[in-house]
Amino acid sequence: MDNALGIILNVLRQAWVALTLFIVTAAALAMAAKTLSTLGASAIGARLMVWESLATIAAVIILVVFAFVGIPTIVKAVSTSVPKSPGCGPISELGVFASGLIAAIVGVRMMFAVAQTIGGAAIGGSAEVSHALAEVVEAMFGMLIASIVIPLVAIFLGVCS
Amino acid sequence: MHILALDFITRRAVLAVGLFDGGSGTGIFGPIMDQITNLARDLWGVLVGLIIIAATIGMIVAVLRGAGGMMIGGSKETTVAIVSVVGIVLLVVIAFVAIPQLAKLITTMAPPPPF
Repeated sequence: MDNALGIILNVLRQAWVALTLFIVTAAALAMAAKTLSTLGASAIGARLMVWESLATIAAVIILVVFAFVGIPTIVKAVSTSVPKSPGCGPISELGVFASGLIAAIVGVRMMFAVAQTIGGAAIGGSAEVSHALAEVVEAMFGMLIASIVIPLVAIFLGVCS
Repeated sequence: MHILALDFITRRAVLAVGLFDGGSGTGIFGPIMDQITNLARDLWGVLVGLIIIAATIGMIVAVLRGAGGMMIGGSKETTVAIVSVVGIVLLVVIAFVAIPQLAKLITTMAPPPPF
């Protein structure tokens, strides 16, 4: 079980690194695209478009800071809050496996939500902070439900005293 | 004995497909990330070219507005045109100096996997 967990966590770690690389690339492109949009808008005198572009640049910076500073902290909190060994025997092993996996999946999913939003801004869309945060909250809610379900399943299957 | 042999074979197979490299790099996502990075470089080049064109056209429009304003004695129009030129220069500086520096800063900030 430990070997399987190690392999899956390695894949998720590689996904995390790839996503951070993608976020850096997409953020630079999004800022360049929105600067171009600002230039075009200021050339034709469209003030609203200028403000919209500047707001998108600010949103991209906020999202990157959130992704690189906030998400790792949330994931660390998640990994400590999910119960690790609610029972004994195979249930205990499953608990360790599930807690490790849940924290990793939540982390990668949150990074993916931010990467998706910044990628959308890079190809000309608007960076919706609310969309990214809604995905993050959804992932955290799923983790909370899982943290309740694991002890319940352990009780149902019979916990060793 | 059989289980040990199975474990050994599994580990060799996993090593062969690059899933177990310690998680230091992009691993199995490396090839696709290379392609995305190459595409992003091309896109960056296109954006830089478009920014130069837009800035040039924007400045020409602003100079034309300023000249027109001066011709008919519209001081406000001329002032707005001069401010527009300054704004365009500022945006070009942001695009060519600030954004690359910001991207380098973000790269150094990239966190390692917390799990």
